[in-house]
Amino acid sequence: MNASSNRSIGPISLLLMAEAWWELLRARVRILVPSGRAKWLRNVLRISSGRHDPLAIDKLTVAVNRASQYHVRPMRCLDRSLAIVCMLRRRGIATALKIGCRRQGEVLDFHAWMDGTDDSAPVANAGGPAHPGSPNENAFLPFDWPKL
Amino acid sequence: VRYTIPDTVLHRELPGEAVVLNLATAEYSQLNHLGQVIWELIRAGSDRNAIEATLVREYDAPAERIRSDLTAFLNRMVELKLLKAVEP
Repeated sequence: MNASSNRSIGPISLLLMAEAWWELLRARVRILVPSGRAKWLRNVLRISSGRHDPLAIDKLTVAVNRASQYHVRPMRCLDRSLAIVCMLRRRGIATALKIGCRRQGEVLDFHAWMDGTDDSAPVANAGGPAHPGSPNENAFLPFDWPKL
Repeated sequence: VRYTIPDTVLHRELPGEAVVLNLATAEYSQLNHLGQVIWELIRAGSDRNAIEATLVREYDAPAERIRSDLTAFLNRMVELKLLKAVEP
């Protein structure tokens, strides 16, 4: 039995990956350019209206994670989460960016993730082991919504 | 002097402390118990004098010490752009 497998990526997945690659680049640029950054981040921190679609969330999360491997610079959790949030919103799917922190001994850790927002628990995590709301005491705790 | 919290600043309470983060600058600061008390007073709209009066009333410490600690805290937070000073 062959332990390795060569799975081919279909044209739709390739298109999704290309969109994800571009969205990752846009996210990185928007984070780096101070002008309008805060306003944009505040907007993506708000829960968007839209339908809930866990399948689409999974599909886009995979596409973004794959696409992030084809960037020259490593993409951080914030880049990946922002890319997923923007792609989901474009498709009318309810989502929001979460930014959280936790204390690990002397160190304060920060993390960003995408949150499905249909009143249920978060459905996907864009780059870290911790899920907010889990009983895990090491979970990242999300920042409060900014006053708008 | 009154202080306001910029609308790009996020706040999170953790066990025994709190963290404030400015999205625009990526600067953050940890707040100990006293810092959290001051932060809540600012959130509630208290000006510097009112904050100082509350701390002097609530804490068993020399007024001069409270004044200098408060000044240092507020200056540091303004420097990090986690607070904005608004002159009357």
